[in-house]
Amino acid sequence: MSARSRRRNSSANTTLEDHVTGSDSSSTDQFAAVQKLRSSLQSNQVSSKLPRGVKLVTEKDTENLHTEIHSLIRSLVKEIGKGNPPSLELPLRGSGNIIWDEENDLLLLGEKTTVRSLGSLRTAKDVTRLIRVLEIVHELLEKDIHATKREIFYNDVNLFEEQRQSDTAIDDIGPLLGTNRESTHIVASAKGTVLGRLVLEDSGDRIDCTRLGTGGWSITPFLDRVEIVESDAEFLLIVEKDAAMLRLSEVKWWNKYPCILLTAKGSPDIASRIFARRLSKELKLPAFTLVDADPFGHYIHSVYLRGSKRLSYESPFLATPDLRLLGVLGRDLDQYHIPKECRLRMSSEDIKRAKAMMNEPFVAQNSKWVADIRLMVKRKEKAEIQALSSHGFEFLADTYLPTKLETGDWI
Amino acid sequence: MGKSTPQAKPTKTLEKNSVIRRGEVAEFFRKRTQLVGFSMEMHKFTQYCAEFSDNALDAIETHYWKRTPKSKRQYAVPVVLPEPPEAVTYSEVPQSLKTTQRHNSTNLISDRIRLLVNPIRSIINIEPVLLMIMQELEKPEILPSDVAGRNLHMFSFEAIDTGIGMTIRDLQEYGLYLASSKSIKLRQTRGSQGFGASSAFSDAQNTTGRPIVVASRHSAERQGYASIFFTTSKNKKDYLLKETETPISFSHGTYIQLSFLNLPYRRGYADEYVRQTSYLNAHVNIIFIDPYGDVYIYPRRVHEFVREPGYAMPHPSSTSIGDFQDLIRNSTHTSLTDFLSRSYCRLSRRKAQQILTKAAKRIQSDPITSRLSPKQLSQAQIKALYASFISEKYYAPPTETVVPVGEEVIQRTLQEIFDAEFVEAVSRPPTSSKGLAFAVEVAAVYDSNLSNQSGVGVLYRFVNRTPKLRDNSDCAIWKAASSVNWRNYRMDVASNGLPTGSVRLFANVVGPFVHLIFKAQSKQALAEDDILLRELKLGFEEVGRKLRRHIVRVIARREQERRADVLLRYSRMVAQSIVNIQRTDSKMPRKQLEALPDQLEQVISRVVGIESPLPTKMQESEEVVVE
Repeated sequence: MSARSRRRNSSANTTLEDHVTGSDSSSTDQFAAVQKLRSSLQSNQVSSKLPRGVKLVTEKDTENLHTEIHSLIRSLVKEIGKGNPPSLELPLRGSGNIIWDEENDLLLLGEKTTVRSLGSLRTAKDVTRLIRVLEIVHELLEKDIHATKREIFYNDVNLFEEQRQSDTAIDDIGPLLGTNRESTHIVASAKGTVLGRLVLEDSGDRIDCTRLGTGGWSITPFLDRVEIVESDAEFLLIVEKDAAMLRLSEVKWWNKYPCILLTAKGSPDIASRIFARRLSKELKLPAFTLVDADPFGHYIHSVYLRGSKRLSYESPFLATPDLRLLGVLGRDLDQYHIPKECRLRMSSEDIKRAKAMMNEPFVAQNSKWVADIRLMVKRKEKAEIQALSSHGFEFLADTYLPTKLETGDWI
Repeated sequence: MGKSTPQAKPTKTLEKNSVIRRGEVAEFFRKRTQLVGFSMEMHKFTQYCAEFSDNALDAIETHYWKRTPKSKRQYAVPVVLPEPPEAVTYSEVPQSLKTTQRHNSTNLISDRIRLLVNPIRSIINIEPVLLMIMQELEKPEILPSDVAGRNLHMFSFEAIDTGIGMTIRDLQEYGLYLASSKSIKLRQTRGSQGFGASSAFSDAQNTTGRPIVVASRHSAERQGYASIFFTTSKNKKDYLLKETETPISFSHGTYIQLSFLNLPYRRGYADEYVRQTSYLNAHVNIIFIDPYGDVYIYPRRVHEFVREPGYAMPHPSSTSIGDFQDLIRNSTHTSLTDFLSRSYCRLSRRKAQQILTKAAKRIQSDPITSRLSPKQLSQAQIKALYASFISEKYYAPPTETVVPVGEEVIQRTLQEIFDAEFVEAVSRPPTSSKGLAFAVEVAAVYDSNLSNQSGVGVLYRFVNRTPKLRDNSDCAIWKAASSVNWRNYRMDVASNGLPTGSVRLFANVVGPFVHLIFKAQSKQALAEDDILLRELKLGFEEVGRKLRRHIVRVIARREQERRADVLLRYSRMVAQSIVNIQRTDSKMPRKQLEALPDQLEQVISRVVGIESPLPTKMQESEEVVVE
């Protein structure tokens, strides 16, 4: 990935200077805390070495993966020749085989495996589905095209029966081949949008994300065709909700505060997560999230941060471990005087999720975060980003975010 | 009672005032034919078949035991019945015959027999044959008022057997109440009481007013005799044709003809009875022609005739004080030792001596000695003797009085009849109760293609090889079967405790013992004797265990087939996927890839344990892989 992109520091950026209306020096002063964080990220190279006992998944190019599929199938044919029913050894993807790598702050897949055999009534269907997906992946690689999960499901509805089944097989294919989703040419439809101080190339088309009106550039599932050209942003702000994103894009917030804005409109899809990670890693930018002040909002932050359990083996490709939770924090509700009528009562579902999150090791070791979730549970109150509008529509862009960023008030 | 007392002579006045009169057995039963199973219902058809097939089969067996040299008691199997006898048109034998018309009527009887026998004339004198024909006659003109509103039809019933036949003397007695060749001494026979034929005759005459025709030829006689008669309430015969020499077209056997009234004929009763009779009487050819003209043929299925059962002497343990007293009073033995050792089984002379010694000690005043003649005993002496007689221990009664059908024969016969995936029979070793021996035989048939049945459709009861179709749930066999926990044997169970589904159970109780425990004259149900119930239950459980093994195997096989079906379906998909992927793999030999689908199918077939569908291709493809 790094070979495909050029890294640019904001100070050396000339292309974007024309669009910046605010004074560079004032904004730099304003974001002393952000800059401090940024320099610490640049100096602190995160160890890329993974711990022992985890399933290592690497990015593979089309040619290699194609060859590997053939050798995997040849080994199956050999087994059949010996009179054995073909079987596949897959890493277990249950929570019992998920390891939190504290050093790199990632969720990873352990080395526990399970064998699925075509000779067993219990697993024959799984094996058939896996090999069918393998056949489709092989075709995608051969033709160098991509397909969405939905398309794969419709490729053989009789066999897969429902998309949940084909999705499971797709999730298993990565670890089976020791590679990530992107390499298999299977993509999830992306719903993310990017705006702000970023220039990129999408399938040869140069796109300046400051000149895309208020809608922005839609993140494509074919991220291998996207190159980051340049950026003079100071930070990356990931916004949970489209409504908050619109509020910021309407005032072209990035002109005043040099940043890149990204939203996945709720739970992040893979492409949005991969792109967020690429922005953070390639441009060495501090990244923040703006989510609802409720356990689900905080959970979305955690998905960007560590990856989901379902795709834990892909964590190294999907997670943005340096992500900071900017807001809205539980404590912000009082600090920013959110009126009572704008606060909502937490449901039992919310409390359950909050408690489950506090038990996660990567949350538990972050005392500030635990304290904030605990406060939410204690108050049994939550609020959406929109609650900030109770102080006026400009409050989010003009007061809340600048204050938070200036004071370094994040988790 | 030993001493005679002066008896008062009846005076004329006394005779005039006394009201108690001795009735006739015949009179009693003539009015109560339902007691023996003859009432206006479908089962009456069954009852006619039952009474005369019982008699016929007993007679056939007697002929083979008495008149056939042992060396000739085997047949070639299978018997081929020449051609199915067509339903023969009914020809009535004239009822009102005068002695002058004798010649005429014997000719009619002869002709009728010849007509019936004609289709099977090639085997009639060499094979055991039972032929029964039921035909519908014209409707009766006059009906008694109690049945006037009912839709009654008149039927004829004829039966021919190649049994031992009757001598002229037998013929004179035949058809009278309590006249039986089997009632004097107990033995494993079907009939025993002398009620069957006589009750049938009563019903026939009662309902139609027509006479009975009987013709018979004893196997030791050169000539056959025929007679036409009514039986009377005085248990006598009122002849239209007294026993007269008649040419009969078989060398031994009996022909009877009668007519009766009943509801319109329906299938499923008489035909079912005959079918079931054939199950356990595989040594006889049985043919039944029903009123529709349908011919049911059950050819003989075994080549060996059944063994002759011994007569059952009374066993001390079953002897009541009354029986004992009666036997002593009528004894012709000169000494008590003789009397005891010769009247009872399992009682030796030494044992008799011991009994007498012990009895002597019981009664000091009137000493009992072995020399004493049975007739001289006083009432007190009989009591003392009985007390010591009954307190002794005896061996169980001998079992040669019991002739089971045999596991092998039952199994072979049922297999031939049902052609089922599972047929198993169990013959329990003979045992005894109430001083008489008996044996229990149980069989089970199971086939997934058999119709789903429950109750009477599942359990078939037989007593001394005779099927019992009525009073099912009142019978010990039914009760024993429903006391078995069939769920243990992987069977579905109905609320009556019997298994349901594609299973048939058969139970046959044989031995002289059964004659003592029939619940009623109609001999349809056995009483619940503890030992009998236990034996039956053990028998059912034994076949149940065997059946369970089979059912488990069937379930396993079905599961295996299901597994094979699923796995083979998937293996075909996988093979297709592999072929699609490997088409572009240069390292993969084309031949190997072409063989792959069959090869994978072979592997999966072997994994699920089914036969390899394509053995030759398998070898080829394996070779390629080894290279």
